[in-house]
Amino acid sequence: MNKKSVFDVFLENLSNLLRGGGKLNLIFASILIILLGIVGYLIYNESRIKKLEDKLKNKS
Amino acid sequence: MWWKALTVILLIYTILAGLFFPIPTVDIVDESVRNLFFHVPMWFAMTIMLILGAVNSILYLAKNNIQYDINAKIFTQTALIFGVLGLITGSLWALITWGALWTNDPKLNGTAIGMLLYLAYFVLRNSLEEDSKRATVSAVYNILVFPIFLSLIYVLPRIFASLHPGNGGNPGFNIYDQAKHLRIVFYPAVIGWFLLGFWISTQLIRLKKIENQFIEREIIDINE
Amino acid sequence: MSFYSSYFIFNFAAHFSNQALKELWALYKKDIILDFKNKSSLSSVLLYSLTIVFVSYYSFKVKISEVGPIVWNALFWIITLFISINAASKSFQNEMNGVDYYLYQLSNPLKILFSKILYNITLLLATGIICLAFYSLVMGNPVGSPVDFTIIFVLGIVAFASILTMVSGIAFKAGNNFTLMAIMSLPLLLPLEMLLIKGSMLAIDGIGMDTVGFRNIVLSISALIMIEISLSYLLFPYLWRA
Repeated sequence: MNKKSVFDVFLENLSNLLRGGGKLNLIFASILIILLGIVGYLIYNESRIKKLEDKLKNKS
Repeated sequence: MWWKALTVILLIYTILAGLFFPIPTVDIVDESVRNLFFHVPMWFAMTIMLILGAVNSILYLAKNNIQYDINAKIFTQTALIFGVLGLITGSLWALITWGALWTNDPKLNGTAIGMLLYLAYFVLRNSLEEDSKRATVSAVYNILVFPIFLSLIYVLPRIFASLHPGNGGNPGFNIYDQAKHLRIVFYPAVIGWFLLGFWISTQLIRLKKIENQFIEREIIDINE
Repeated sequence: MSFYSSYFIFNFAAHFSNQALKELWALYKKDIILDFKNKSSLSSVLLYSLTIVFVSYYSFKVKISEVGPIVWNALFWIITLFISINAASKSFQNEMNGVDYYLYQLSNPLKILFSKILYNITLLLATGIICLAFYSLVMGNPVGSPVDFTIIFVLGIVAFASILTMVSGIAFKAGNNFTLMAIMSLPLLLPLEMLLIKGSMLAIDGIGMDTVGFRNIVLSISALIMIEISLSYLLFPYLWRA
């Protein structure tokens, strides 16, 4: 690879965005929030399904 | 389970690395090649879920267990959502690189027809009420439509002149000699997006199973 | 390719004992005779096709010299598409009200499928020829090489019939709703439609079987027909027993 390693470019791009992205900042944040929202709902659903399955097993 | 945690890790890695790692730059495409980590994995995830749906339809016709039909419906449903997302990301990419939201490209036309085919699958399901008849007829339709869908998306665009890379005489992304930079994010992205779709589908299947069991035992209030 | 086709033809021909052929012919004759006795369905198909040609003629109101071969071609195949869907939707009409249970006991579902495909080919061919004649009458006929156009036309009709028989069977099991049949058949017929428009455009320009491009299209349409018939062959028995 060239003079900068992958992590250097990564940190540089990230800090550029966070420092003065404006609209890009908004898009990036919204992608992360939507993804974390979906994943969070999935994890919450896991516990709900487990509770329902236990209830069914206890009833039978 | 382990693969659910893996999904979260892979997806966060995909988004962060996809947006900030260095990429080889080419004319016109430039930074928007980062869409490669979102658009293409969604189509791959959709195709694999449609394969799972078709396999479940075949299993239903072979073994007559209604659970296979429920699996097929839910996999196809999630695949359809991924397809719509793929179309949206593709349109945005096309706006930047090809200049228009929709072009006269065989792959785009093929995918539009493919979406219509699977929408007709759901219309067919809604028009039948008896469980076993609905399962058989929709399984037959799913198996009928699946090879046509594959040929529409993967075979026909390679024959006719196309704007997509890798189809119709265009070089694929592999000609970029620095494509290995793309691959370290691309392969985990494909796995990550597919696992997300698989997780959503399996949860829906489990929820439907629980719902069916509640209905069977005639428990009306689930907070009982 | 030739191995697959020889396996397919062998499997196909294995069903063709003399008894089986007689049964097929009997089922096919039954459908045609029923249609001639009860003229309403035939006349409705004919009326629909002539009306649609007339409506498109009135929308343009000019002859071929001002419309151009591209529009003539595209319009012709769109009309043929809608007429075929309408005609094929009546193919399982005779099996309503429990007649299908009676046939289910009498005969093999595959024979029923093939007799229906043959019936649909006959019906669509007859309707298509009348439609083509009337269309040429009102909108002119710019076809450069009639032999090649006929090849594309006949192949197109056979392909329409093979796909639409299967879809009509599915719609029959779902309550014989015409809207459902139209929704299901349109996306399935679109790739075929694209191939047919391309092929007949070549035929209109006079490019024929001596070029690779035209032969490729003919091969693609034939491959599509074979895929459709083999898929129907595999799936129709499950459908019929639902």
